Amino acid sequence: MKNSSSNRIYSGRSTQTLRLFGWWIVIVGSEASRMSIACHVHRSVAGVLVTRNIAVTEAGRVYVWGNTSFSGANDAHLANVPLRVLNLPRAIMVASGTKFSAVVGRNGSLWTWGVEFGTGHTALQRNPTQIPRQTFSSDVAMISCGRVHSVALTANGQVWTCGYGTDGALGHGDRQ
Amino acid sequence: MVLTVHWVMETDNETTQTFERVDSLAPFFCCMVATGDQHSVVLQ
Repeated sequence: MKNSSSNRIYSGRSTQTLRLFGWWIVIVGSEASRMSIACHVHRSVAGVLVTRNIAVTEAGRVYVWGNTSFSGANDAHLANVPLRVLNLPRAIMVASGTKFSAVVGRNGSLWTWGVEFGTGHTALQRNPTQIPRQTFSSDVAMISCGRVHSVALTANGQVWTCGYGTDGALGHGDRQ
Repeated sequence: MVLTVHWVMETDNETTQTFERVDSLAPFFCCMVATGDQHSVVLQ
């Protein structure tokens, strides 16, 4: 099993975040599957520890567990077992922010849900929504999510950002 | 192979609801992106 996890811990006045990335073996139903996992552990202002997990299997299926309020699994808020996210193409990569998740499809598409970034909507979206392909100049190859912003890499080497630009996280300079 | 790390961290506080290209990186072919809570890192 390849295990290339990296852990990052951030501390602040109101939040503490721990992220875990890597390949893990997870039991899904009766079958063990190798998954790439993105975990977002967040301590809320009220001191409540919120754990959100999203994973993609080698077969390209996406699962969520933990706090799933914003994780694409309808009618679920706390799941102790992985729940499959439907209505997605076969995926190659997943990422998660505080209240949203993102998936890159093997076909180069990008999907998000939760309190979304990228679709132009600010309301909670419980179902995966595809970012229009014409948004980008090429297929999406990689996605990474901060607490409230996202960075996408397209196959032609271009970088695209979306979300809250706190402290310049979006990289658009001093534009207001 | 030459690898250059671009620390994308400036002073703006804009908010965007749609993806926009980072024009300052357009001349470069980037191969990896990563994020912290409030910053982004790009590998060329």
